[in-house]
Amino acid sequence: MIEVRDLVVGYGPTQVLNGIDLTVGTGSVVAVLGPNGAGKSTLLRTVSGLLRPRSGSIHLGDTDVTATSASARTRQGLALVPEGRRLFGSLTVEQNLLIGGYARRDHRALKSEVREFLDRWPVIGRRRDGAAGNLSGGEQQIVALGRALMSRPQMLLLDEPSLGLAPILVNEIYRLIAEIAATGMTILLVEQNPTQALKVAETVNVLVGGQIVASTPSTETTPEQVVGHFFTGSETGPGATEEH
Amino acid sequence: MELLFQQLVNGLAVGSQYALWAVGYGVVYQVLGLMHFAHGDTIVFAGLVAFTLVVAGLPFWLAVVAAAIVGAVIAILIEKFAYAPLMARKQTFLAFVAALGAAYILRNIGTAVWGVETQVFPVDILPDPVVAVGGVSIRLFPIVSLVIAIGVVVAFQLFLDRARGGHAIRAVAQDREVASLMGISTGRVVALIYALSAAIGVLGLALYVGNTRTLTVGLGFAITLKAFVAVVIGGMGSIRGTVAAGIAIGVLESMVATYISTRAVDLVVFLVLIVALIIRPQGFAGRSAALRA
Repeated sequence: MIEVRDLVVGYGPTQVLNGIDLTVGTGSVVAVLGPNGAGKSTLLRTVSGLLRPRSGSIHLGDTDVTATSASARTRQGLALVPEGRRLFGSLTVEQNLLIGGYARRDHRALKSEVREFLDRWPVIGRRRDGAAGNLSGGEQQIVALGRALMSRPQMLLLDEPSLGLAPILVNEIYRLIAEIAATGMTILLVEQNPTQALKVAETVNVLVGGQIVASTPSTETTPEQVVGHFFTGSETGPGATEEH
Repeated sequence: MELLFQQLVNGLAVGSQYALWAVGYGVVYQVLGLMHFAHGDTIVFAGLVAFTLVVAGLPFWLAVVAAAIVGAVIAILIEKFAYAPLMARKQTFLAFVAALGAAYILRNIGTAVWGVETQVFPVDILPDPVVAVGGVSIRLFPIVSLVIAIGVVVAFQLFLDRARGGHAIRAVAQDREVASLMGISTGRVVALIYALSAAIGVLGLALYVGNTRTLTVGLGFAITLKAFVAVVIGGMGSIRGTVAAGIAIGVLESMVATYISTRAVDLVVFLVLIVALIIRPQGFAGRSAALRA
């Protein structure tokens, strides 16, 4: 479970998140949707440990991780697929996947999981010894997801996995995310595009101006209603349900 | 002809020392984006510790191991207390100033303890055989130096390419944030980089001492400068380029000293640096061979 309480985050004089409360139950998928600059990536960067909050708390399960480093949170079962993939471009595809499991001790099992992953995606598998930076955007996103999975996380943070990808590839990526979700993984997904996110998430939160302005089960809203919130910036937007 | 051959061999030996000094310097720059201008003084300080140990009766190579450890510890301490607080605030230029400060502190402590005069190692620290090759007598040590230097560099490159720790260094070099998301303790990796950088540099100094039997506290800045030139000419972050440039500079210096004048050595080397920068500002190995993408 990921639990965020009253989270306030900023850069210098600018406050980006203004008191976020969010719970992602064990095995559930929660989406945070919002326009550009809403604070979505800042939220994930803070939950993953890359940013320190000004106040508030973050719990992974029963453990308060607010003050711990990103690497410590990874060892605690959290993995982030960052915006823009951010593969290690000069490392090979295989090395990228292996380094995803850097914190693991069972190196033999890790290597076998990397092999399985590459067998499952033959187009990528054929380029296992090539520099990851030479893969296409969609292939890089798949490798970035695979890299995160190699740490055997219990909690997965996904930062705009569809960003910059062709629609056909977006479908492919979301099929993979749905598969991962079906394994019982706890997933916090941030997206700008609500269409795909609504298909995999059980709960949708709308983040505007650093605040969650609406929170609703995904079955009770539509992409249009979500986008409506982007513009109105409050729970009074079209299709608004309960306030978080 | 015999003179040319001997000077070529000597140049290769000096160049192999430069290569070892430059590799560590280059890796620190590539991974951390910092001009580690305390590199040479760290190495020389550790070398002076080795001198004291040798005078006290410790075998030379054991003293070198001790010096490598001393150098590694000093480098880690400089990073932790001088560079890291400034780099955390993204003050790269101030960290460079701190590097100069750390270099001067080490040099001053070295001067206070060992003095400015040249320290002369006992002649018998290492054998120095002479062999005849095609009728030409040459000292064997320069060739051994070259072989050791190339062996160390190849081993280091293999470590970066194949070992888990090497992949962690390359990951930190490319994207420190994402590396931390992989569970890599970036602070430990940075410490490892400084430790390796100093230890490899101390080995280069051991080759220098093995060749000359002497050491002065003022050598530190010269080491940093030669390492800097080799890294710039070879291509920032390219280990192969740095090694090739280091060896080439050694051979060039040897030839200039023999056939022009010892006073013209630095003039020619820095002239070559300027010309190389104009012709190929990214260095001769370029970015394609660099640790980063």
